[in-house]
Amino acid sequence: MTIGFVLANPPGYSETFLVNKIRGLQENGYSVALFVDKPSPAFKLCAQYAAPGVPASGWLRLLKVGFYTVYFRLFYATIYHQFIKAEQAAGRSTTEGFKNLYRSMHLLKTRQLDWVHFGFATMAVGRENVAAVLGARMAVSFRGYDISIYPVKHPGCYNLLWQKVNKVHTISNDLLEIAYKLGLSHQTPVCKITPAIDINYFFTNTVKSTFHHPVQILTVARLHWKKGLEYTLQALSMLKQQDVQFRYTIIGEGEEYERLAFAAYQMGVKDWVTFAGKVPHEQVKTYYEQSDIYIQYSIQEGFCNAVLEAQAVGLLCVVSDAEGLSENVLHEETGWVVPKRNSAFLMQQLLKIIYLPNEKRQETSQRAMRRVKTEFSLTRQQQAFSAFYQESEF
Amino acid sequence: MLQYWRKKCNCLKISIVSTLKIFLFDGSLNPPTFIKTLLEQLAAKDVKCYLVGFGNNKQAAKLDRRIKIIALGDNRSQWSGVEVAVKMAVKSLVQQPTALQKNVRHFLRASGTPLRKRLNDFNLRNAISLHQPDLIHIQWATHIADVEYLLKTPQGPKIVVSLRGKLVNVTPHIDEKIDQLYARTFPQVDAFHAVSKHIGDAILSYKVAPKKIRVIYSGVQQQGIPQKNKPHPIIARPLQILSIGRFHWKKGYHYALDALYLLAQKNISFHYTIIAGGNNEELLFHINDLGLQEYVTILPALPHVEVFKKLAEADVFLLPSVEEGIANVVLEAMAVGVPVISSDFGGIKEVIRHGENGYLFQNRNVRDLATQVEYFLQQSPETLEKLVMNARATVAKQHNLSQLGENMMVLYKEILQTA
Repeated sequence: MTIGFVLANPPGYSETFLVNKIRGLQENGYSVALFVDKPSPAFKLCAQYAAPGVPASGWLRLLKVGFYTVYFRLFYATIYHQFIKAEQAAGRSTTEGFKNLYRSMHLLKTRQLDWVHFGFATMAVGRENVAAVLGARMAVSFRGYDISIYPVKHPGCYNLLWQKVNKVHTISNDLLEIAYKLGLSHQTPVCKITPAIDINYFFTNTVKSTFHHPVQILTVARLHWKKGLEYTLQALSMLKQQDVQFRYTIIGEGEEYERLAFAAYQMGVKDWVTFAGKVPHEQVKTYYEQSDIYIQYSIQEGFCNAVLEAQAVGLLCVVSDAEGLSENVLHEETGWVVPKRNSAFLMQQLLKIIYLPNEKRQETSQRAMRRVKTEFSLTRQQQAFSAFYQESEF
Repeated sequence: MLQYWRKKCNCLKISIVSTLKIFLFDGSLNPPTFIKTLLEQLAAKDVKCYLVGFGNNKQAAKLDRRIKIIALGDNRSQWSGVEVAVKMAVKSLVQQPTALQKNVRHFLRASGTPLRKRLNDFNLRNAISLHQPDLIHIQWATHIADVEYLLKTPQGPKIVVSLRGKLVNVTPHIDEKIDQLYARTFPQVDAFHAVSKHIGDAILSYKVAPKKIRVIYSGVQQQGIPQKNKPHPIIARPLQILSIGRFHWKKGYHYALDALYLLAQKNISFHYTIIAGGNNEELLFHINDLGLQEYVTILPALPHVEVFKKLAEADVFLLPSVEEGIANVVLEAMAVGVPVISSDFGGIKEVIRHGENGYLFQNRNVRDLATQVEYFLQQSPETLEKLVMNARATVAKQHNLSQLGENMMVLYKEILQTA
């Protein structure tokens, strides 16, 4: 069975979720091909097919698009007609149809796919007819941004997708609920497979006994508004007013650096906060090991691998209730879940954890480690994905 | 006859000597409205005014004819910079050969920096040596780097730097290089124009003598502004709250939405309109996530007349910004007669006195913002009428745009006289 994954870029080394998924499928006898917008020579796990790019210059664009379309029309005539017809049937304009054809050419040229699996729902927009034209089945993954944020800006963007998709993969129940509200049919088969981490790499047998002084707090996140870092900083500035000594480190870079660095300055915690920038994957583990509390106070979050990693290392995790996070951490069992966008609540929760007796902290941490080990291992994920395509062969 | 010409020449000489030559350096050739207004007011005062910036003549704003434009070449095209460089070099060869020699030497020496930056430098230096302005007014503080070399030459033009918003309040705290640049250059600058006392005080840490800092408030054109009749909220309809300004993190719109969510929870009837232009993913997500779709409208950028119309229709103007120099839009709202609720960031406290001519809430404090809106709703029409009158008086007295050029001239003359 051949599965074609459609992604924007090939997964990087640190994207264990996808790399492991591909590896697991290959081990289980599946043939996997990757369809990306920008290929990467560093990715060697399976074959890559790149979408024809669009040149920036007007004349070049016209020339390239024209040439490719004529070429496709001549050598893939049947597929060409089927696709254009399907686009028309979906009520799309001619221009839109041709645009979608051009964007999907790399997929349409490969005739022997059994499954076309879109890695994010956004990747499927404009390519809803591809699978049917190829005679393949269509799967789509819900990952977070694509379900929670993108449709807010583009209402109705998934209407056709909901009609065409054969099977859905979601990483959390919450995302699925949002998708139902967006119009996904309850009849569409759905499978929840949460992200997973390399347990052997992160797992430590030693349970942290006492907190450092000052308390070391950590977040691994892109500097993006959806990560709720401004609210986190505000909670920490309140914590400082409670005379708690702490140091906060944010690993990650991004477009909101100016906003966050200024917030830290204006809130009076500049000297207590370190923006560590981008840190190599191997070093992140050291940061986990040297910290006491992990915060992920996102406004929107699919599931969050970093929270799994932090739990595996034995950190006490405080997360927001955004989408998958409350499934990632179980409130008062494996960590704490705080309503999002409320810095005062977050501060109170942190304060409680800091004054929690040692045994209680250790119990929480051990429960979290156990749960991550049993429920979020790579092996479990590989088995789940293998079954994902099997059980749909009806 | 000979005497006549001699007299005429003398007159001409005097007029040349006495006419002030000023470079306004904005970086671009299409500056924001308040800089255009300043240029036009200065030009009307018998000052030889030059707008200097990167770009080509096509990109330049349409300004009063008396204002000369010095285009230093388009930043996006290297050729444009080369073209200007050649033209200026030829002119300098005839008029300022010694200066040209120096500028060429600098150009060759700076071989480590990118060519575009070197061309920009070369063109700016030639423009300065060719026109020999009496004074260069840097509109955006970071551009001080471009004229840093002049600070070391006592016979060179005087340097005035404007201190506006983010470049002074935010950038040096998060960018060490800018902090160092200010520390190196600011003590040698001849004078500073601060848009608020607060922003002026912010540079005292760079060892700047306080007497060099002059607060000249920005202002609004008082004539032609529509006047709102009834300043009190009409109870029969939802409270109309208005914010104006492009989407940018410093505008703090997400705090406003968080606060409005609290009000919606309390069943307070309101409608919030943001005139911003374009859609912003973060804000749309927030509105949707908080379930405020029915309560919030985002409007595209509107022409000035329309904006004033919307202001006059609003019950209250809200400024949730986390940082600004002084927001002009607040002054406009006050001039129209709309009560203002603003965050208490830096300079705004020089305009708004809480409860007297507007309302302030603690910066970034969502609960306080919500409380202020509720407090506003409890005010009697008489109190609000008085508040609006006070606000109008503040703007008329402290923020009259027609005095901008005049005030700036006083500053220019003072530093030129001390020379």
